[in-house]
Amino acid sequence: MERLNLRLPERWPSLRSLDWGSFTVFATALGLLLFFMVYPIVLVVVDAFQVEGAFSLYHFTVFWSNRFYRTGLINSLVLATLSVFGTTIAGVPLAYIMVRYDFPGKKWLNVVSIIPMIIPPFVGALGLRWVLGNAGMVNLLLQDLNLITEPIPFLFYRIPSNLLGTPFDFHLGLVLVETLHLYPIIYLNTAAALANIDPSLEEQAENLGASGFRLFRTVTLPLMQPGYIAGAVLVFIWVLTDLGTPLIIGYQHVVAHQLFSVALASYYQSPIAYVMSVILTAISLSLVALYRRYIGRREYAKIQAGMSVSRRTTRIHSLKLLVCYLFLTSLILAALSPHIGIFLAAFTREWSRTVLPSSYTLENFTLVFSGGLDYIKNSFLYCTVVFLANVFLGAAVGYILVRKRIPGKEILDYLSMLPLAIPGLVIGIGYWRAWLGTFLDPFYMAAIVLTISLTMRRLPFTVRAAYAGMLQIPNEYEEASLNLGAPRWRTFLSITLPLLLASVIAGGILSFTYAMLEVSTTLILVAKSEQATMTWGIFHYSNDPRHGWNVSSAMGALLIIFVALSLAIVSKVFGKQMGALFRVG
Amino acid sequence: MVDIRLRELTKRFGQTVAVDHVSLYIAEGELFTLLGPSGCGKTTTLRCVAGFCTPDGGEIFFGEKLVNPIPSFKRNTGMVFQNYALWPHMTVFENIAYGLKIRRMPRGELKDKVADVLELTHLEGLEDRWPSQLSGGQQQRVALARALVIEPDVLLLDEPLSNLDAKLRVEMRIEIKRIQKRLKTTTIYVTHDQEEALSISDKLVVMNQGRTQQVGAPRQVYESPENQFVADFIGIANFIEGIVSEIDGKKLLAFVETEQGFGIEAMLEEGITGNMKVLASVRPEALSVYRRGQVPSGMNRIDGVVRLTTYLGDVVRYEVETPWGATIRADVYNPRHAHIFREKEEVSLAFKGEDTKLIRL
Repeated sequence: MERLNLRLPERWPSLRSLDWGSFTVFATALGLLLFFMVYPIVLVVVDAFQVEGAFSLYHFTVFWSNRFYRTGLINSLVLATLSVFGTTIAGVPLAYIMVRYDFPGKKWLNVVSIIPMIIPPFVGALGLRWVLGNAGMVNLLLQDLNLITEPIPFLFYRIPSNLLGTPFDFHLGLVLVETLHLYPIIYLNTAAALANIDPSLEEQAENLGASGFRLFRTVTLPLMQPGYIAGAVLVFIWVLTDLGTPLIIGYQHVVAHQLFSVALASYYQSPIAYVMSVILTAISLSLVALYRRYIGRREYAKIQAGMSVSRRTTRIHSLKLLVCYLFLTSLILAALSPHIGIFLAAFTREWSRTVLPSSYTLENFTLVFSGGLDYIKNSFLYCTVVFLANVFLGAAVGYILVRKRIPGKEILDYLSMLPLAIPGLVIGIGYWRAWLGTFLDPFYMAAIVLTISLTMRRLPFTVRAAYAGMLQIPNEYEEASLNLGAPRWRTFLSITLPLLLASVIAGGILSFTYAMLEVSTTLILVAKSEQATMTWGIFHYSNDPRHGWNVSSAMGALLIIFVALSLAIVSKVFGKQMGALFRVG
Repeated sequence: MVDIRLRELTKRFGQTVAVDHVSLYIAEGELFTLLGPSGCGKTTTLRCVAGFCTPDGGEIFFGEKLVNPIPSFKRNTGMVFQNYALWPHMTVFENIAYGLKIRRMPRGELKDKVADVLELTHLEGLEDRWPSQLSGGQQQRVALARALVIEPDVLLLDEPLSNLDAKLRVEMRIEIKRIQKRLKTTTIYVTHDQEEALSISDKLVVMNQGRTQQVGAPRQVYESPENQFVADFIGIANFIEGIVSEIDGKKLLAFVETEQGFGIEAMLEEGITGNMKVLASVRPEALSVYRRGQVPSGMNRIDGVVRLTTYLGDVVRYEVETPWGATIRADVYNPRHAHIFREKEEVSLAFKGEDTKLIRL
């Protein structure tokens, strides 16, 4: 028996460190990801490529020959690209100012500058309509001051254009909305990269005679580039697959909106919807794959270092300070305008043709708390389950990825990061395709499938947090415990888990907030209002012609408060490493 | 307390053989050191004993018991890690008490035990501190206390002093030796520092590239290195290649004809025979430096030119270049009344045959 014990490992070296507990967790996590992520997507892809059971590109030719769809695809790509530009112009200078300069009020401005993240995409658009809409605050103010006669279409301004006979738009209004919402992604990623640059690297360059822009171009820029590109990829994918914003702005000519309309009209079973899903997924997946290839695996491990405050901060004065303040205040004012709009609209029913509401009321909230209480309950119920499931799954997967050698571990690694690259819309379509008519039919089981899909989609947050957390726990901590006689399970419970928990819970709270803010999957999956969530309710109310937008705004305001609270907790626990969680793997 | 036997222990990592058929015997209560350069396999050997590494071959016995199939947490070894591995979420007391809690020791007895070990390691009064509030030396003591309190059969120390500054290192190694002698726990100590190894060990093994080079008491290994690696790794040695020309069995001397054509006397070792190719090795402190040609009779002599003189207070260190281009190091202790030679001075180095050790090539 002992002989066998000695010989066995030589043939299966990777099974050596394997125990049953780890294997069970591994198999469960892998099974869940395969069943609830890979399988629905595979069905969609297969259907997109077949006609009556045979391989065919027919559906793609139908898609491409329709000018309406072609326009949508070009629009989406143009919109995503322009939004990357927009967020870069706002986010990169912000990062540089925040990391490298020191000035009064910096801490406060730093917190305020990431507030746009805590608003569901279409609530932001809704708020912006109150402020920057054709009959919004700004236009009315300008008209009152007799500066303009016709309203400026901030949110609707588009330049019609043409590509090889296919018309498309440069929709600058949508770009503005997306930029104001998403610039924190660029900011957080770039700032993290910038702050992580070892000061000695720049000092060395200065020592050799480089300074000013030359120093920035030759040393600083290349070193912060990976962080910036991560943010840019995330923004691009986000805008490409964003449904809420075009929905509220009322612009149908983007893929996400078309996909939603086609899916609704065809009871979620249209080959064209599958083709669109395949296209969106292919673009996001290849971007993420390209990024990972570019970055190698370095960035993954670097997260553990966290964001250290760079010592290369200079205190600025006079003109430079003035320019910085001007930039920061205008950016933050613009970024906060949706929130201002939402909160004002939430407390009124009379706000038309005046800059500020003419009277205030709590009626909208009364309505939300009577008719919309189910939405709130459902949101909290689903998202709490998402939180718990993600904390446990994330901790387990992170632990296995760092500590265990299991054949097929790489697959789990990739699959657990995959949800970042799969658009929520596509997940929704895939679930209808996979479960319609089964015991998981979204029509009846929306509560369950929505919770599962949100869990899967936010799993990367906790896995990443656990992964980073595990890297910070030296192997010796566990070995010391084993050495003193604690079996593996006891070591995990008394040493690993307590040390890991802070970071995993932070990731879990982030999952929670994102699940609260989720729009695309929710709108696609939920068909009955009694299973719906707050974001679904916001959309639902906004369609009501009588004060619907005010009630939506009240619900949106509540959602913002809930999310702000949970994010405040996360930053308290997780501190400055939060930026790391907004990156792509 | 047990004795430990390793039999043909082998561990591979992919293509590299980290531990290559290592066999060792460690007697009960002995402080045994694994000494070697980094990557020599000493830490891997220790980790195999602790149970963190599954050997690819060979056996490990604690007493009569084969421990290969026993998982690490049932081996009852106390290990001190190089980085101490103090759990940051537990206080000093909780860190030390952990092993006793695992062993379900009643609260009262546990407190007494921890108090005893705190006293033994001079940590009284620090039990409520967090690891981050301790100095390096204190962390080291806590790690030691945590390993000792469970009364392990075997104490394992993995470069325990390498994170301390030089002065504290000397203090702590005396401390470790004191505690080990008092508890008489069989101890395996891993280090790459030869001075540490010589000063602390009852016995030591020099390892290189996964293989044992020489096992013995510190003095034995230092004074009679069995091969060039050991002679070079432990202390510093000057080597001169040659062929044994004559053997004097009565005086236990061998005469070596060097490649450069002069003869030297050396100690006759077992297994040295005529016409054998050998390496004569001399420690720097066995060399004396004289003005060219003024060497007393009856001593080996090498001429050379001083290339570098380093004055260190208690010792003057010379690097002398020989006519054939080799560099020989000589340490002259207590140079207070001696003449200190300058660079470029022509000198003769003298050393006794009994200080010259032969290594078979």
